[in-house]
Amino acid sequence: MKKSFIAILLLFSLQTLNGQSLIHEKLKWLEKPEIHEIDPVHNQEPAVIIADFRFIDYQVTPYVQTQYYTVHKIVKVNNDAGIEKFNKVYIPAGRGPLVDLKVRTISPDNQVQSFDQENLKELSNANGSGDFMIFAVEGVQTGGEIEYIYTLRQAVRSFGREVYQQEFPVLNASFELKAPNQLSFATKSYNGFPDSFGSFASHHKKIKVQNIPGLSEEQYSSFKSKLQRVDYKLVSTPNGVDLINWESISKNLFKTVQGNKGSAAARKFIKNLKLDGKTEAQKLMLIEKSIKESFTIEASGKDEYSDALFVFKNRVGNAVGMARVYTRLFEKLGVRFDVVFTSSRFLGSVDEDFPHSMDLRDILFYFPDYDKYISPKLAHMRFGPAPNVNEGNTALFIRTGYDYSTKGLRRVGQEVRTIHVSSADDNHLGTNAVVKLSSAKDALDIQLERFYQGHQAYLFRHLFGTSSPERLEDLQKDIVVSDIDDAAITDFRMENDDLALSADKNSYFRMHMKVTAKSLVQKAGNDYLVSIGKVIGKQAEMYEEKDRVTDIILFDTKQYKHQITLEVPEGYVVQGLEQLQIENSVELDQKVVMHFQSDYTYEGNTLTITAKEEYEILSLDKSHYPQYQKVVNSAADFNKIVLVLAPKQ
Amino acid sequence: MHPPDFTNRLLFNLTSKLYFQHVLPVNLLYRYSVSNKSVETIPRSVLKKYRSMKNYLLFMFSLTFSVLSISAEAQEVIILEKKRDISISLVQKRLVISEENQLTKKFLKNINRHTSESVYYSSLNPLLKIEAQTRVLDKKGRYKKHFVKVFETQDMVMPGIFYGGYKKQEFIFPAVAPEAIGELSYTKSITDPHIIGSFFFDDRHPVEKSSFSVSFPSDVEIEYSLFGTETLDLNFTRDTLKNSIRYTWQLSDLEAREYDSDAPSFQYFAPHIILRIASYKTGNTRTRVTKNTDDLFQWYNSLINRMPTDDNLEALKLQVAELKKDTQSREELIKKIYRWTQANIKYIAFENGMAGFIPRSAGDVFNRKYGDCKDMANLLRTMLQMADIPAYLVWAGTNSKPYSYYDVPTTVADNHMICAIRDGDNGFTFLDPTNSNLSLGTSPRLLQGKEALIRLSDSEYEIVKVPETASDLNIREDKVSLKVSNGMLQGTNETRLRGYLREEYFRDRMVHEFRNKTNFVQNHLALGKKSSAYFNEQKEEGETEVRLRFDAHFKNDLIMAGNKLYINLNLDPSISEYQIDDIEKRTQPVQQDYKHTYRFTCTLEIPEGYEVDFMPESTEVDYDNTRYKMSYEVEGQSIRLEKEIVSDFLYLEKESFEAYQQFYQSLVRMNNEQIVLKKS
Repeated sequence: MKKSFIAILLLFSLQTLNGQSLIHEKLKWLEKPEIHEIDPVHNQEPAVIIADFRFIDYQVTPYVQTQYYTVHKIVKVNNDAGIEKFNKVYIPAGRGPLVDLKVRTISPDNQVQSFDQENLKELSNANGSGDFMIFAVEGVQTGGEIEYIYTLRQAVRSFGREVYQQEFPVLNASFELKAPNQLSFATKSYNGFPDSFGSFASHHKKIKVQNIPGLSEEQYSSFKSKLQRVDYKLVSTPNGVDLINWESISKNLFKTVQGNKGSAAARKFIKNLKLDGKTEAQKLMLIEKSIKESFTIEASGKDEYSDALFVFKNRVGNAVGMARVYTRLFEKLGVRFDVVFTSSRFLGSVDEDFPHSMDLRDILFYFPDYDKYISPKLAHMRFGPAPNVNEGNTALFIRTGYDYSTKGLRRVGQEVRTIHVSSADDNHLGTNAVVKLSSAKDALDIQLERFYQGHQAYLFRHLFGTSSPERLEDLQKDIVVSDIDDAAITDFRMENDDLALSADKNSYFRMHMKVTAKSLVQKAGNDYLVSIGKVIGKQAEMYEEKDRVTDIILFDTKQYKHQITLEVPEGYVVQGLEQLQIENSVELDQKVVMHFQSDYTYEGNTLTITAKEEYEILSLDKSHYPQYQKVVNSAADFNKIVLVLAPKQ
Repeated sequence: MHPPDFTNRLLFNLTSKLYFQHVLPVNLLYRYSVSNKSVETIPRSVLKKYRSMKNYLLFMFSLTFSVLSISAEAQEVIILEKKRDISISLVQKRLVISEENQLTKKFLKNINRHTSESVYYSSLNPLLKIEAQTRVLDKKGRYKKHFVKVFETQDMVMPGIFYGGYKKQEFIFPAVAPEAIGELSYTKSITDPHIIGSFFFDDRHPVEKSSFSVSFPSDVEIEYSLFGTETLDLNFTRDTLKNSIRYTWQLSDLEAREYDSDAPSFQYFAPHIILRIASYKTGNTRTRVTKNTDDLFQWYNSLINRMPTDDNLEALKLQVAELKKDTQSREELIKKIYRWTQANIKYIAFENGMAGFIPRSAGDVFNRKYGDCKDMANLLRTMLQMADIPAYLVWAGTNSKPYSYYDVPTTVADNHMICAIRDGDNGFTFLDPTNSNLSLGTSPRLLQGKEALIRLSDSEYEIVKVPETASDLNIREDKVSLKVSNGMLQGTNETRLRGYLREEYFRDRMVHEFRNKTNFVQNHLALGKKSSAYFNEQKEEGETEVRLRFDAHFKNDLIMAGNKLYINLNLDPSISEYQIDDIEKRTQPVQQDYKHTYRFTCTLEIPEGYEVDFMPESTEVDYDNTRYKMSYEVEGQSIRLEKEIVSDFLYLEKESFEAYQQFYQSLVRMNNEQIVLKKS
């Protein structure tokens, strides 16, 4: 897709344009800098960003198509952590070379130290993540400032994103985009970042802002997408208007996914799978299984890995290559499907009103006849719901169809809509346990069953089903009885562990075992204390002192159902039962959307404890955070319950 | 709800330590990269790959096909052959060394988790040739070859090294099917005869056949050291070839290397060989390379002498003069200079080729305010000398290195540089400026018990052991006073931290600040459950001791049932602190960074109207390496618990596991004991 936009620019640029003066050549820093006076309230921060000015300067002439990207930063560092954060600088140089760099430090007593350019180093394809220019800032002192300006000469790109907010306060920030006046750009600001101002033409955008508060990462949050930022894109050139819309994006993406190779290889692949006599859904599942068990996904962007023929032959491909392989295979089956582009809810969402491809991170395939998805990326997922991080997110659905005469695959249309969220009632997990004191009364004997359905089942089947015996032992300890350090497990048995069963929501993955644990029983005088709550496993706890800033995002909808039956020994009575009654919930519009409730019945020598914990939605406004915390912590409180077995009077 | 890290915990444990142990091959492990400043600022995008492998399943969306590729899986792959041949020749009176490697592996199960392979190199051992292919059985029982066509070259970025000059070639074995065979061969050149590196016969998969050979002309004198092969059937052969001699060592049927948690690095047990060139003869001249410690020192010293001279030391001299002002004693001056380098010079490692061995000049490091360990050690030495305090550069290997300089007089033996001064007639005091909070006189934590090679002059050196710090110098002491109020335990605490526990406090504080994490004191001390709340925190961060005071509500630690109160006074974190994972089945020793003593005192005011119904017995348990005593006492209207735990080992060997288990089980039992109060 990138290529085609460059083509638009190239085409346009054949017209003669006057060369523009370059922003970065005019940009100067103070000759005699002095330490900035800042509000003492910021002195507690490890660092404060005094200035973060960024400039994008499009230079498009018949001979040159380039953009200069310039950053000017001043950072005050207040302690060691601040120094460690800012004394090493990585400049991503993958899209073009560094053409200018100035770095200096200003000490608390206004001594200026400049930078030895010899210490600028180049990393090419650093850990497979592209090229970087890196340097360490020299002479940084606590209470001092770091200032640098750099300019990159980059290949032109018709859209981009500048994120300004970060974990430390930014006192002054600016964004300036300048292009020849025949080009027109649009910007859209998010999360409180102001809009472009003034009477500038659409080829010259300017935003200035002061005092952006620091925002740290929070648990259960799509933190990155909540940072103040501006997105921009090319809107028109003399050759066309509204260049980037869902139609044009879909067209390009479809072309990319369709590719033009691998047709014969796909036919052979299907032939080898011997799919005759299978239903269409069975065929899809067998294709997915075969690929996921034998192909390797590589993160590398190397061309070969995107080439469907290469991928079929070598069974290794990157995201594009794998998408092409699946597309070819679905095409050969003649199945009806949509190609879906979306993102993890934790990273961001598609903004339907401001089309661009920057939030299209994941590829899925959707089969409308079955209302099911295939995720080419995730090894543990199978034909079924969309991955939990994609559920509930906006997505671009590109509908495909078959040409009546050539039978070839073509794009029929597209639509931006939300991916269906599976119900908590289809995502059960929990515990069935029968617990009694060992005959010596020094341990608990537990007949334990854990069960998982839906998304939970996918993950656990994958983890447990493909593990070697040694790893299985570790998994049992670490996951199945995560809160019982001395658990001795015997008679371990899995039920319904085949990954293919995950497609059927009525098929639960179950693990059965016997557990003996001394740590769950203590003798106190004549009484026994039983840590019954630990049977449900470790629970999340949320005790944060900071005020919640971002909304709550959950991994998935789910419903825990635990039932524990305690066989009370003859001659003893259970005390402390009131601890077992816990209830907390979050309500939206008088409807319960998150809920924890535990209770018990005590009849004869049998104590039956039930605990139900349910999360029916995937996101929640931060105003409900305290109540949400209570629900989460209810389970943690349950987990800590200790009952007393006292001799009958 | 499950903790967010619920599913990843195991794999994280399995892989985090592992990663650095075998994904980064030991031969390539950078020289002077030991830093106690454990934070890194590498951009996430660069570390992405590392993280996605390390934090397997941390988020489910990082779950890709290759996520498990790092774990030790015995049944999934077998290495049919692992082989390295070193050939040494003399060309125009110079040593020419090359290294040929071969790896043949068979894919059995979960095959796409094992298809990725990497070869590491740098300018000191450049990669000359690489070839790889997969052989797959076809229907007629014949092997069909699929050559690797895509190799991806990457500059490596690792935590702890800002710029290292290390590279890797990554590739995927193509068309892999069960029973397929992957073959890799590559050749590297060794540009300096001092840097040959180790060969490990074993691997994280079982190895059927493993061999190492060296061929050399008779004018070259070879030395070697073998480790971890004592109980194995090592086959040695000596062949005379046309113009050279060849030594070959072979091992077969090696089990997959184990990675136990908190175990020493695998160099401690993995079967391996370290080859070195002792000397060579050209004409009538015999040139020594590295036969013994004298040679190693001479070479190291020659590198020190290649250090650029300082043109301008005026600013540094002024700084030293400034520190000297109003200083009363020699010791105070040393402290001030040490403290200054610890506080003002940040750890940033630049190394590239021989730059990994030669310190930068003191003036340069002073100016930049950063350096790696050798830069910082040399700056400290220079500053001390400017203050007329004789100081020396010291090479040393941290506790990840099992070697003695006498057995292995090569660069493989060490990975760190520090500074030493004479301590009267008592030998030496070791100073590590990479550690911001180490007190003068305390040995660098990771060097305890290890050899230090001290450069006294251009011709003199001494090898001495860095002293271990005794358990009673590393102390944590908590004093908690409690009462029952509003249905929960409320109280105050005072903690004192000394020695490495003080150091650890600062390290953890830095990590909290760096990651913008709240609740530092509570997270660090972990007194009471996570649901407890601390307030009115006060910190006193002294030169030798840190004191922390706070008030707290300890929630979920009190049970009211019938007419009784059940209270566990053991609010301390010792159950989790002293737990050793998999001790019942592990085979490898447990390595601990330091010995220490933990004292916990808890006093509870008996609430009005209650009397003691039950009090646990006092206990004392004493094994060689670990001991504890715990006692309960009633004093007037209060109950007092006193506990002292001493952990007296750096390495806990397998023979001591049973005793440790008894110690730990007893500790857990006693920690779980509750006192019972009854309405009177």
